[in-house]
Amino acid sequence: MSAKLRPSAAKRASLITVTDNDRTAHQPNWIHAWLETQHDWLGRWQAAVAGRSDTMRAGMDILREHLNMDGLSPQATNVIQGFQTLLQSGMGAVGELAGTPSEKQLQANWWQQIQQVFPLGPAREQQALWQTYLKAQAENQLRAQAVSQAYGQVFAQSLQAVPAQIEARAAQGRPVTGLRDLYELWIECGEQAFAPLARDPEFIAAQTASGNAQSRLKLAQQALMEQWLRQQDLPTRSELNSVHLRLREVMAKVAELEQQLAVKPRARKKTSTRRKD
Amino acid sequence: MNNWQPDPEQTRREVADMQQRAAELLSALANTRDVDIGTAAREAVYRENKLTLYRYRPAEGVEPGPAVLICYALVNRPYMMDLQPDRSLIRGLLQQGIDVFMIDWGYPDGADRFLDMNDYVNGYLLRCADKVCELRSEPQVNLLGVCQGGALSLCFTALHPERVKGLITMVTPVDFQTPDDLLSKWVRQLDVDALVAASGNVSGDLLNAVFVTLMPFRLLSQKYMALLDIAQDPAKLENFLRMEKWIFDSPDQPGAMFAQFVTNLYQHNRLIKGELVIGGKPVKLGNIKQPVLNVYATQDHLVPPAASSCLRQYVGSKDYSELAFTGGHIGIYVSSKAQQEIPKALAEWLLTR
Repeated sequence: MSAKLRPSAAKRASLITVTDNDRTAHQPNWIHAWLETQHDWLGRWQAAVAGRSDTMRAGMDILREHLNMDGLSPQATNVIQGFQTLLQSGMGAVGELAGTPSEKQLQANWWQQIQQVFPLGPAREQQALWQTYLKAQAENQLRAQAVSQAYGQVFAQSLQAVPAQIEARAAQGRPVTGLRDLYELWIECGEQAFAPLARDPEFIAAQTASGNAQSRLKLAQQALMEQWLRQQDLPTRSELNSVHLRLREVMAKVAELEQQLAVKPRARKKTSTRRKD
Repeated sequence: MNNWQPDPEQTRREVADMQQRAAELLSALANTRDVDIGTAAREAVYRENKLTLYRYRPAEGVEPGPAVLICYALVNRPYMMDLQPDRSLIRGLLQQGIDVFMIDWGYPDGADRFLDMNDYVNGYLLRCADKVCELRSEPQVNLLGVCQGGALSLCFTALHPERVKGLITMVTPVDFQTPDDLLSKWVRQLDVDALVAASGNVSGDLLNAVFVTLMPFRLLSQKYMALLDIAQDPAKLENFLRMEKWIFDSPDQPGAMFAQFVTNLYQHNRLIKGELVIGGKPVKLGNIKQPVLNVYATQDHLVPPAASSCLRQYVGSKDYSELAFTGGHIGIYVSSKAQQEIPKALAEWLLTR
């Protein structure tokens, strides 16, 4: 799960660089408009990804190198870059998710200290609830970050695998024929990259820990909410649960009594028949 | 290195074509209203809480023969059994002369969060079986359990063998910890008690998120890109949308039921170990002496074949048979091949027992 790719600064800078001349020369309006949109996205996602995931950008660099874009017309280059941008937008979303503070930062945070102070005084119960909530919040961020990084790694691996697959397809006499074909190939690479990760005990543990952390965070939030609702004399989930459980017990008793009533008339009937005899 | 160098003109045409198809798709989606589902004629014969027991009307000109009670999973809606007229296991069974009953569990809400396995197996399912027996004036019922409903049917048959004439299980997990069971690996360390305490009922959306994450590239991206290819084919588009509706029309799972199901079966595999206890009574698969037909799908990624086919080792029946369908967990109900093979095979089995 650890990131292994370290692209050079030059490579990073050359990820997608298109001059204004390239963009506009001999293009119909719709191409220009489409490209502008792609570049808008690119700008946004590059900003989002910047400094967050080396592995993702490394994957893009490798893909670009192997797609051998030198010598293509500006239009073709731009179309390929558009495809890259689309891919990168997906990765950027992951980068966004991964953009949570590191454990080191969290430890340095003053909240961390507040979380650890033993609560004292008349408001100690409330403080304890807030401390639990803050701890749960911090843990949830860390766990979610670990999972997001793992998914980011899968995206990177899926892109790294594409060039080899293009080559393999060409060797089999089934060369990639267009953008859609390239996309389908990337999907295959993605699933192939994800399959071993999905079964990796480390990933499963990280994913489960993230799910469990979410549950603990929600429980801590509910505890805070319940406290506030009680203060306002409003119904709480605990009260509702208590009512539901009591209702359930009552229904079980009613069913039991109904069963007994259903049995008794038959017994009475038998007895009365005997008397007649 | 044999790099790909696209023809710029071809690439431009391809992009233009995709844009055109995307526009057509958007237009088609904008003009599509809700899709019809579960259209076979039926009537409600029993209701309790959110549950409804349906009896399907016989196919025209077909004399109904033996009855079967379908016990569907709590996950997703049972109209998968009758998705559309030409993709309907239920219509297929009716055509073969089977008197079909089916349980619709409904949409459990917050008031149902404490319903547990005992309520479902020894409560709802038992009362539905009794109702079918009453309507048919028969002492026993044939039971057809689907996926999670199959596991419940196994428990029911083991606990109430006198009520069941024959048992059919379809894509039913029995061994919940086979090596190829990815779902099982993912939930094994889940803190189910915390999840249920935090969420009450377990949301259907959460379960769907887990299911699509099993194959994220295909199910979150490729599937929708493929829509571009059927934008101009209203029939295919409608089929897609019907399936899409079914996939994401997911009831929440009653919290206690979910917790017991995951803990007992996925985490501790108690069904095959003979350690499962429901309503204070042990569930012993060896008690199942009735005829059993076990149907599973060879390409099932949710319930791998090995998780189902192991049933033969555990039931006490001397009349055990299997049907391995070449397809997936959903294809076994909706593929055209399934329409040809499955209802006929089930009906033949029911008619000869």
